Amino acid sequence: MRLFIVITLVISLFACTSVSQQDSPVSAAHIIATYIAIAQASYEDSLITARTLDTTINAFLASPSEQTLADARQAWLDARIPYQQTEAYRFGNSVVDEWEGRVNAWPLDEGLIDYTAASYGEESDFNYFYSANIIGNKIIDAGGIMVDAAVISPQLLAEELHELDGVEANVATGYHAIEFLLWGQDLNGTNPGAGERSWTDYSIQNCTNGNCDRRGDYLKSASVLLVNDLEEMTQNWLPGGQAYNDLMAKGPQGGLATMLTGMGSLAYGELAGERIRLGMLLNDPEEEHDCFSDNTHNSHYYDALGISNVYLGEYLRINGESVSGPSLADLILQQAPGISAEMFARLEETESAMSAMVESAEQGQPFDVLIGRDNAEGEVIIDRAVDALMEETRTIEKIINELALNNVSIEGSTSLDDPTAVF
Amino acid sequence: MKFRYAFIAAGLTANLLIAQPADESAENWTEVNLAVTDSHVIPAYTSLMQATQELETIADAFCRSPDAEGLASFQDKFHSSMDPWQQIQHIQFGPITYFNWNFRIHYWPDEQGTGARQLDALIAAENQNILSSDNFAVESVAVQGYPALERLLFEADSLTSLQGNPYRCQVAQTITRNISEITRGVQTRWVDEFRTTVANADERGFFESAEDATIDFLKAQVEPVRRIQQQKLEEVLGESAGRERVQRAESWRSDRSLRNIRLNILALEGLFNGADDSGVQLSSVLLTEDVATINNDFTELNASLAALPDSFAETLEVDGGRENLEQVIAQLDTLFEALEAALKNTDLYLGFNSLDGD
Repeated sequence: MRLFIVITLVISLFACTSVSQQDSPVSAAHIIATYIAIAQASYEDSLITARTLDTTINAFLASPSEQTLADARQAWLDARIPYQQTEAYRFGNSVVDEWEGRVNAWPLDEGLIDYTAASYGEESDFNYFYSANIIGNKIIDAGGIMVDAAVISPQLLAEELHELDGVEANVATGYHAIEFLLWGQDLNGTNPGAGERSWTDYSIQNCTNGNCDRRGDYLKSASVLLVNDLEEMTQNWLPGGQAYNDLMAKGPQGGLATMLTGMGSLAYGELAGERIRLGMLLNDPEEEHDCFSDNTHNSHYYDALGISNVYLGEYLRINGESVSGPSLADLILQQAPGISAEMFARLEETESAMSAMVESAEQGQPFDVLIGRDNAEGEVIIDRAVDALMEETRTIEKIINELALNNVSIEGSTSLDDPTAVF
Repeated sequence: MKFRYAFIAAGLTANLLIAQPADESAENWTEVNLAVTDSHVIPAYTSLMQATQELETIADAFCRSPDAEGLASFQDKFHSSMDPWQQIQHIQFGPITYFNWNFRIHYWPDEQGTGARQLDALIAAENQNILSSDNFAVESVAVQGYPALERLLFEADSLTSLQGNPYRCQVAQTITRNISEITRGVQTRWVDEFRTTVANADERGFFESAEDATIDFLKAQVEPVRRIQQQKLEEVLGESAGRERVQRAESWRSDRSLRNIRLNILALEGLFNGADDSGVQLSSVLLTEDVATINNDFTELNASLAALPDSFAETLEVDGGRENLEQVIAQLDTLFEALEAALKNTDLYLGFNSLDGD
């Protein structure tokens, strides 16, 4: 029903404009309507799972125990599944890209938030607040900046601490801050094993590592903010919302260019480059996306699935319902069968490469083990994933050429960015 | 900021697509590509190779008998080899991407402080086995190149640290040998192999076409301009006066951050205009009026940079220092926009680039 309403709205706005032949049944308006419907569903699923996470965190803080901590961790893992699929909406949609840092900023200097092991170090060329430890210190003062952290609140995290001193690694909010608070540092290096924070870090009666009350305040504040931020983004994709309006204003060509920009930018610079290859180059477990929980394999898998969702016009909701409709895949099949076959092959290889990474993790070799210095088998798995994403990006470029979208301006992406272009 | 680790993905790509090739024959594309290769790329890599060989030699001499005079000579050679590196840093395709050579020679920016952590751990371990060429080559890229060497040579207590710990000096020697081997590998492969690849670019090889190779050169022309603006200047200046963070600058320990940028821009201008009298250069693929605009932008930018000292810190200490750097940022922005606009006029499409990312 929702998809039908969205299609009707979008088609009326675009007045049946088609990017293909006049008699083509696959119009840009239909494709963009599907894209919006998937955005609505996947952000809503992200919100639903974040609320569940919030509930489990409340239960954990009310009664800290091994079991309630395990419940909160499982809720966090569940929440990552829909959220990672939304990442294909980030690049190209500036309202998403500008917001994204609040919920999924990474990598983080976790020493800003809480205690760390000696191996973490105390200084960084880039960050005066590298080891500020807000939970352990009510006032921090460095680089000419003083922060009063006597009361830990959502406002303190969002308005003062997040990206403090203009440093992106000062991640005070979002999934990864919560991940750190639930798991703690993973001190196993490139050997198997995730963070092992004890539930007693939150126990008022049996507090370990000090400041358990402030740690609880921090975790609760971060959880509240995550729900608020996802509520905002879910609203943004409803008719009349900012993301919806921005997309409509771009017109049919701009809409398709936005979709492809999001796919290519995530696949190339972000996922293949920063999130996967960099870890291999540095052999550094700090360079894995979900480094505290060792959930990186799943985050990468669902990122790749999100790209596929946008192309195929399909999304499987957390309740099992399917959202689907006319898609880029339909259009390209009709207009350029050769490229269509190539793209399906690329998506299949990426899915297979990412599945291999997931299977490896399930067999005891998660991402941080794969990037170990002497793990030749791990390097093969990593390289395959990077290669698959690179090839996928090249085919996305061919699609952009095929649809003559290469001169369309997309704010928020450096790849297709020309503010002076008019369409 | 979405430009962290902008170099990371740069080494991933080879072929880029051209949507609607400009009105040039394949022969013309090849002529341009070879002119750039012969007059710009290979001479620059040759200079780098020679300078890094001298760096390796001076490292060996210093570590045999480390003293203050020797360290000063070592530091001088660091500078005289960093100069040619900064003048070819913009090429991020071809042999420099083999074996992760681009990251191994200069992993920066290192926002997580990985290099410091890993270098400390490596020295503390005192493992002789990892100092062999084969083993050192598979260490983290953050300990293999110039930033790690700079940390060893330009700390306040560098001399006493190197004198007091022979293994520390061995690590410095190993890094110089590693850099030297890499630059020799890059230069040799350009001369022996990659020039031929460029000359014979067609769908059967590395490039899908001669235009495809030109696109990679153009990408080397355009992307670094934004990268320099974002990473080498804006990150350091911070949001407002008083928020400058010199330690985020490239080569801040050796106090040559702005010298790097000055050399970067001179090299980019050289790439654009060529270094021989053939009249064929990368700018030949753009419209004449756009070339004039871009050259004017280069002239203004070079004049601004020439008036600044090498040191970022020194620049900020004088009245108007921040404003001078803000002017450079504005000029870089203007140059980038002019290059992008010129490309739009040719229908050349550079494809997705490595600047997308966190």
